[in-house]
Amino acid sequence: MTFLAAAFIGVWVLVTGYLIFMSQRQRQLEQEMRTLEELLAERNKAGRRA
Amino acid sequence: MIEHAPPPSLPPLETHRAQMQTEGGWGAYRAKVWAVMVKDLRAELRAKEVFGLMATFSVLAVVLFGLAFDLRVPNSAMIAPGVLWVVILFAGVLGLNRTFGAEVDRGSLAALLLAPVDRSAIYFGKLLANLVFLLVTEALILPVMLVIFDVNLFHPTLLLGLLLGTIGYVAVGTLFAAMTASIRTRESMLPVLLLPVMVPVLMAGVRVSAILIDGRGQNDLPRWLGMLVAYDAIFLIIAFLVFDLVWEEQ
Amino acid sequence: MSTTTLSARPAIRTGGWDVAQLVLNLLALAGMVALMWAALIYARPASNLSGVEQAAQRIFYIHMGCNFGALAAFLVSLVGSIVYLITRELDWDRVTQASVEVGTLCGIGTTLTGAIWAKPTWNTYWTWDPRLTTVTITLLIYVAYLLFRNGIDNRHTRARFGSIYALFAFLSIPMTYFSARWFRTIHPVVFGGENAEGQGGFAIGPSMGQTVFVAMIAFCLLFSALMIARWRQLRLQDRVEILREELT
Repeated sequence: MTFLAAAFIGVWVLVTGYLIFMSQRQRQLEQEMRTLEELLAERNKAGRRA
Repeated sequence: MIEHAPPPSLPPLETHRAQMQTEGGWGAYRAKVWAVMVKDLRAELRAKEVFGLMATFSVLAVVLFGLAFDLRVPNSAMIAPGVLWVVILFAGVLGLNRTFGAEVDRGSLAALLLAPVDRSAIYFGKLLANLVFLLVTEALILPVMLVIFDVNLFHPTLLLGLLLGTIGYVAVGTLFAAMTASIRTRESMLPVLLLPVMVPVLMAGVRVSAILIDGRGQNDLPRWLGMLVAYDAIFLIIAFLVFDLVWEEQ
Repeated sequence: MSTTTLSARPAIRTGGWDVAQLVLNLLALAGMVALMWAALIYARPASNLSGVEQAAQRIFYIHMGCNFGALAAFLVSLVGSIVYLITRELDWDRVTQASVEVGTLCGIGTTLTGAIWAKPTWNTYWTWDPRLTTVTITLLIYVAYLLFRNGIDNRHTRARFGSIYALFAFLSIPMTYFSARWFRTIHPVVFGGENAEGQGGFAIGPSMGQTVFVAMIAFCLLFSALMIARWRQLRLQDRVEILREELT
């Protein structure tokens, strides 16, 4: 019984772990994207003013 | 389409062959292969670093294995095939690491790539040089194993297996060495990339050696030798086709 | 930094891919739930086994699922590599990377479930069974691929070298498999009396066959969902990197 549980839980841990990894990375990327797009917008504004 | 700067356009396969024909053809190709091989061999005869390293490591490894398994196995001939091939695989990595390492370090890679000949000539030249280095190292390993493991490996079919396996090893190894030569983690990356791909050679080599040491199961020899031949053929062809892509940007 | 800029435009726009991904995720989840039910409840217990071994036999379904997922991943990575080398479109290289990552996951799952199943069945965690051997070597190759990529900074070189390596790796797998098969037929089984080549020696009934089928579908969906999600993430990653390089 423990073997059965261990195997099933193990596989789910692997999948969940990967999902967590991906969502953390996604948050990181989206945040960085926002920052960079803001930077880009500011640069454009400065460019237009000049 | 999201892309960084696009790579310079590469010539399709037909142009490769056309190049070979127009720029000197088969003769020039063969000469280039020979030249690359001779240059490496001569450099080694002078510096004696690669062979010394491989030889010392091999002897050390055989001795360590002999020591580690001493009295744990009833008959040392049982583990001899495995020890032989594992030592060859690890010693080979040492030699392969240095194949392109020197060129990349000294910056003479550009000069090497300048010749108007299919770059696979460089691949074959380096391959042959590596083959010589490794075969000479194996010639040293065999008597050492005779002494430490008390097993006579000087059997023609076994030597044939050794030759075929070594060819396959340097075929894949030279290509991988070219790829790892210019990356950050160079020396440590090559064995990690190379050894799992060499598993069929390892298994075939060990089986052939075991069959000839035990003197039983001779019927399986053609199958294993066939595997080695197939491995060599497949990977030599693929490496030949793909080698140009390694230094595309130069 | 004005906050109006932040709320005025969404950083990530929703589109066709998002819908597809949502559908795929739901299908994958449904598939896995169905598999859990099928493996734990629907499938009849093996009639010729008993006790711990009988319960542990159910691991086989997950084991086969992971195996199938790894195989699918490997095939997709091969396609990605070859198409990249021909077209030089980085999107295909991202397919290779994503599928190798998910494939590694499935590979670890296969080895793990294989070992956990082996212990109560053959009283050893490891057997050099050809399938298990091949999956383990494949796993090592995949991990090497990911490490290799990690050590290369140039996007194009990374894609090119990765694809070349993936090609060689794929070609070696069938040979590894056959070598492992031939290796065992003449070598006497050292551990226990069981034949390690056999499928664990349980009588296969119809409910079991159906469960295996469900396992293959479920893991196929899971692989697809994870891979597509990761692939899109890699595209975003590259977009962010390019933008960063332009602005700094």
